[in-house]
Amino acid sequence: MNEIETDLLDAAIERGRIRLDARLQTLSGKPEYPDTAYALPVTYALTGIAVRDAEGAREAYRQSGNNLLVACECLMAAEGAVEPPYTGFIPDTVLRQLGYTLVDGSVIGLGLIVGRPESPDAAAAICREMQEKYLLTFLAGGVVEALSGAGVRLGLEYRLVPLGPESARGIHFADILARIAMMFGGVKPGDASALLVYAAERAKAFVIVFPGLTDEEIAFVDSLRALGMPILTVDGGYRGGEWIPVASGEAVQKGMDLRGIRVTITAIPIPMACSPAFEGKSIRKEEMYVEFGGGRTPAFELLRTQPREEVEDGKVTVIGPEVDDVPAGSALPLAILVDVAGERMKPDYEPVLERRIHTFINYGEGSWHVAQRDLIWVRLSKDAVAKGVRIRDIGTLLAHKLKMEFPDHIEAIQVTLVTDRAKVEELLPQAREIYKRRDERIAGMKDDDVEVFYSCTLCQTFAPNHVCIITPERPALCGAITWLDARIAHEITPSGANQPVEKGEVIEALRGEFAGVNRFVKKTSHGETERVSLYSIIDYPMTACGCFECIAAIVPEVNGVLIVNRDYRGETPLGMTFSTLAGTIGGGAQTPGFLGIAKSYILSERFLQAEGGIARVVWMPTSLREELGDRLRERLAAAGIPEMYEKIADEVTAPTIEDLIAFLERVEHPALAMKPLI
Amino acid sequence: MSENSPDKLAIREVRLGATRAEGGTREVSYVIGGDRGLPFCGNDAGRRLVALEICDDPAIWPPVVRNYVGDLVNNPEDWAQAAERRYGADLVRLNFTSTKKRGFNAFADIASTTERVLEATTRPLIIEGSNDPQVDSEVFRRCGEAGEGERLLLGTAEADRYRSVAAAALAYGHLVIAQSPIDVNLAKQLNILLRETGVPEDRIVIDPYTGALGYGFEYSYSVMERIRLAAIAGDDDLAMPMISAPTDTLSIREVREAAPEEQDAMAVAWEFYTAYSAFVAGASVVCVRHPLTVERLKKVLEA
Repeated sequence: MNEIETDLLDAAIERGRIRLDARLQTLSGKPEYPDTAYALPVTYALTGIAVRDAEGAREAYRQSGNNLLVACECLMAAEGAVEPPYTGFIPDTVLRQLGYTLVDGSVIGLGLIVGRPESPDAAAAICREMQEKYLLTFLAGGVVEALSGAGVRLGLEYRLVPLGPESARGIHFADILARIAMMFGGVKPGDASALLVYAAERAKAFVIVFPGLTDEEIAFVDSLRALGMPILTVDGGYRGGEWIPVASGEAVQKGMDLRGIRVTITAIPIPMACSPAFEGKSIRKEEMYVEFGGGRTPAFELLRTQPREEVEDGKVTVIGPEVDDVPAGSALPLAILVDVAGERMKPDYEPVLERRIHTFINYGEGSWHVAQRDLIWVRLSKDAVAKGVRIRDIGTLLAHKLKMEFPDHIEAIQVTLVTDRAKVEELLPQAREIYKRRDERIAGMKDDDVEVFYSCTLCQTFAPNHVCIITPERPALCGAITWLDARIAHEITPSGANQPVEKGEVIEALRGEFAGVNRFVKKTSHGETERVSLYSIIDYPMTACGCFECIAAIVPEVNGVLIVNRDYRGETPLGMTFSTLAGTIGGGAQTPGFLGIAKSYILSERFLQAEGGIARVVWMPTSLREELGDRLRERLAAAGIPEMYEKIADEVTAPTIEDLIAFLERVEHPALAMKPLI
Repeated sequence: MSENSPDKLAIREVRLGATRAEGGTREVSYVIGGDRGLPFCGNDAGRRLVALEICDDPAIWPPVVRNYVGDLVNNPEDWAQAAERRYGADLVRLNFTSTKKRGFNAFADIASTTERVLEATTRPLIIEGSNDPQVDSEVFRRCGEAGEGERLLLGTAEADRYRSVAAAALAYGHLVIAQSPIDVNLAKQLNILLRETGVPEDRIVIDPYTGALGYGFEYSYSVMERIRLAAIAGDDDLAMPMISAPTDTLSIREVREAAPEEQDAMAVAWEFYTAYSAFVAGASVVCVRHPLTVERLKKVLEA
């Protein structure tokens, strides 16, 4: 920044300050505003003093530590009203409506424009953009005349409020903010720090300055920074100090960015309805116009974080044939590539956001999606295609829904849909590489590496006292939420069902009992469960809701544990089916000897650590063993018992307990020789 | 008062309505909540109110009520007055059914109806505004403004559309009904959201959503019980009084298909047992639509 220019602005601020100070010292009129219960609001909020006369004004100014906002307000209040169309001081009743729109969300931010623009058209463009972005704009100074001259309609109903003909009238912007803080934010008069916090966090405002301010007005505008407002100067009028020069076309966006103001869009411009109501609806083969993946063609989806400058927000690109280029009943390859950028976006969040692709495509009235990653299967219905739905619309849908759902994380999003076979096949290996790296990231995380676990109480709707504790090495028993997922869910909805749980002091390391976890579970289970071991099936095992992917149950006769998955319909050697077992252990009760678990927990090093781990597993249905397949082999090899894969019995080798005993003895299963379970 | 002080109330006190001395125009205001234990177990404050619900557009109102009250349905202020004076309701709940019409935009009528009903009644007023995000903002602003200072109980805030109700409560000094779909965690989450918006905790009343007896009421009952137990166990975010509006009871088959001469009796029986069960589960205010149900509930409460 140019030093001389900086000096110029600072010097002007200083000259203005001295003049305002001097004028206040000689103030003799009666500073007051009509129709308000908040006296001179800025002064009242900052100092708690309800100013009635000049002497009171000087006292308040002194007590505020010579805050220029107080000086400006007292001086303005002594000057009297302005003529229409200017509003001057806005009475409480009108202000209540303004504050209402701010809390209500119909206005998402506030702007003040002062000075006299060289080009009325540029000012008009700024105002139009402010209106489009749901900002409420106040105007003071020559800008009002310039806008009227350019044919811009002004007034509260247009969300463009002309405060007064001089820029100094912009002080009413501060009194509006102060009153909103007192009326809506519970800020007590005299609690200056509460006012500043409210102004900084709740009432998101910024100032746009055109040239033509007096020194006093410059000093006044600069003092607005104390309320957390950035000062943006356009038309090259001012440089220096803490003021931020911008091109007039970028002023509004810059102001919004600086204050973190985001517009939320609710209507998605696609020719089909989009709502959770359609989520459960499938598209049968005969209703289907075109499908992607599902074994017929290669298809995958991938969401990646990219540098901000590489993402053009809202852009949707289709590479390859569109839906109407192929006849009904066709299958096309598909790559869904979603690129997101945002300051708070982290690569760790990618899988969580990517998982929502499934949900959102199913929101479409005529679109359907199953599975994930490179296993996806997507269909568009004949009805939808007849109504004009194209694969491009799926991109638009995803771009909008993801941004709506994760407004704090996604600043920009673009979607590319590839239906060209060669291109999809070229991209697929890169995607698989990324999936692998992600798996390694969570796979590499250990419970010992973190100080905080997460809870999940989503299921308390029907299992009122159940609490899942989710750790890096033990996902939620439904298998749907990992520790990373829970962490981001908490970041996105801090008051939601996933809360951080401090581990606290270790009570028993092998069983995985922690003082912090116990405290949390006791409170959240409403006193029902007092102690929980994270890695044991026998001593204080975790409770279960009913959503578990598998049930682990001890088989005392063989000193081992069997695991049965939800999809297996037959009986286990315990003489009970999955659903009979589920009926015994669900509902939030602690049932020693039984555990509801996620499939992936079987592969964790922490799996039944207290009882000797994976070596205890004596039986599981073939479908489960095949599904775990190589991952189970790897886990067994890592545990030093690679031969055990073949020693796990199933419904064919051991349908009954007698068969199981015989089988385990024949293969010399390690569990037989382990420490007795009971 | 400390967290574990025996003097601590399990359920916060909430004041409905404002008398002249309190900044409104009501002849009485009511305090609900203030309980220390479960309902009817000797440790609750026993403050139970019966509201009669009326509406500004009877087109979708249950026929059995329309037949019973006759011409009153076309005149909210007479209907409200009759609710208090003739039917003995503790308070009136005014439901702006007109806002459910497609393309509703008669916002000025919302303000004038609110004013007229306030004029016609002497007790606190519950207002059920719109339930369409398109018109919420304007509807809640109008009724909030028209009733400024009256400590209206405004409904209904839900998790994805609570801002307008909250804004009206904050701007004009009213209370909020926070409704969640039979789910204790969502009830809690909504209370937290409202608090973050700035609505003070003693201005929130929980509506856990009420299904009709035999049509899901047992879920409502359990969740009310759970909300109350959580509050007693010290959960501040659930320590609000509850309101129950078993509005579905009059549209169930048993009532719709009852023989004409039995319609009133059937409607009242269904409403009465659902509403009374809601009291047993912990509701402080129940809202019913058939005038005879009011009488029956009042009689039982007095016994």
